[in-house]
Amino acid sequence: MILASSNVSGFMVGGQTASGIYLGSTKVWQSFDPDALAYIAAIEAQGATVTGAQKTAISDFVAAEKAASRWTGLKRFYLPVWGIAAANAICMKSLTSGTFSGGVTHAAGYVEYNGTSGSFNANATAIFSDADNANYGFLAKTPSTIAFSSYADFSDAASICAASDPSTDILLGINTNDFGLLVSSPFAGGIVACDITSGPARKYYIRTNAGGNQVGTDNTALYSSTAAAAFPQLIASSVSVVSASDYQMGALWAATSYTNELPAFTLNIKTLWETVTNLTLP
Amino acid sequence: MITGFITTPEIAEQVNAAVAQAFTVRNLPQFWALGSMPIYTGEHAGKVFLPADEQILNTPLRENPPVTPQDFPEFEQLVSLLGGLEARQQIDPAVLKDPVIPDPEPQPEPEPEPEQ
Repeated sequence: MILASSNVSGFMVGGQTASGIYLGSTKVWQSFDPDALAYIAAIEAQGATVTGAQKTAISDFVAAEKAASRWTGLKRFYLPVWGIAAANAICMKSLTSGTFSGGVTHAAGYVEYNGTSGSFNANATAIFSDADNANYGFLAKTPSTIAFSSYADFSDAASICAASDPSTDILLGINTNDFGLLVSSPFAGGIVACDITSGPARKYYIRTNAGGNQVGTDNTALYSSTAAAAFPQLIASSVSVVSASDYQMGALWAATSYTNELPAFTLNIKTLWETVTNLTLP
Repeated sequence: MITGFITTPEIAEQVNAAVAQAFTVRNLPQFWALGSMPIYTGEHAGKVFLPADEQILNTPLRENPPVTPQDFPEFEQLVSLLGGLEARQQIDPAVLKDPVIPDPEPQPEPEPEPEQ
């Protein structure tokens, strides 16, 4: 093919993983990440309808995570936006399936727990070997209106806990018996991430549509319990119920520690979810 | 109040095992379960609650257009084990809460980090 030099402003490969071919600044060919394609195929096999724009968004997300060297550390990533349980239960990273049970509404763009019986079990066992090297979080389209608490056992060494009281907001922590107060003003929704590294050092990060903010590094023990419980943002193999939430969830993940990568990681999740759903992060 | 079946732990286990089998015989991962929740307090303490309101029984499971639990041939048989849909009862969700596990208590807020 001959390209006339007078009407071609340039030729370059976009992105660090060759996401496409550009003429000037215009993308004329989309390359899809192979892991993204595998996920898309898996959810389409379960009945999900995935548009071209959504496929591009998923591919761009995976490519960006690989370019940032975060993809390997990502253990589980769920994007439950497809409106059907089978597709929503598929992990983008591992292609394994979790299990929804009880009262969970599968809407376009999120799943909504009914506040009493809804839950999700990632059926993951021992995906962490180090209790001081973990990252866990979720995207809340809406906050919980009722107090809830949940634990997630990723392995015998690590437990990830989330709790919320509408009057005091989200509390999130990693490691059994350790909680930290996350925010002091009512949580209106957004991306919530909790990260722990050796020390232990715990970071709590929230990203909303207005921006992102690391809100604390608190290690205060809130309360202790020997019972592993998770409801509804469960990523574990065996749990028992403490109390249920009624929030709308658009993403859920577990990873090794991302330390100082939380702003970039959560921004990538925001871009993915908003592009795929045409919704706006609160 | 929430709607579902109240049954013994043994029957609940049978029902959930049957639901799981409905997936395996179709070579599908079990992406959906009816679930079961122990009843800790009240007149049914010691029994198990299987949530089964209309929203749950009409969960869009897979395919396009999606099929629901009620579309599966096994559904009627499983429901009959529990006494039929008319055997569903409403209970206070408070009876499902394990009284041993404490509620989270609010703590003083930490000093916020500078915005990044």
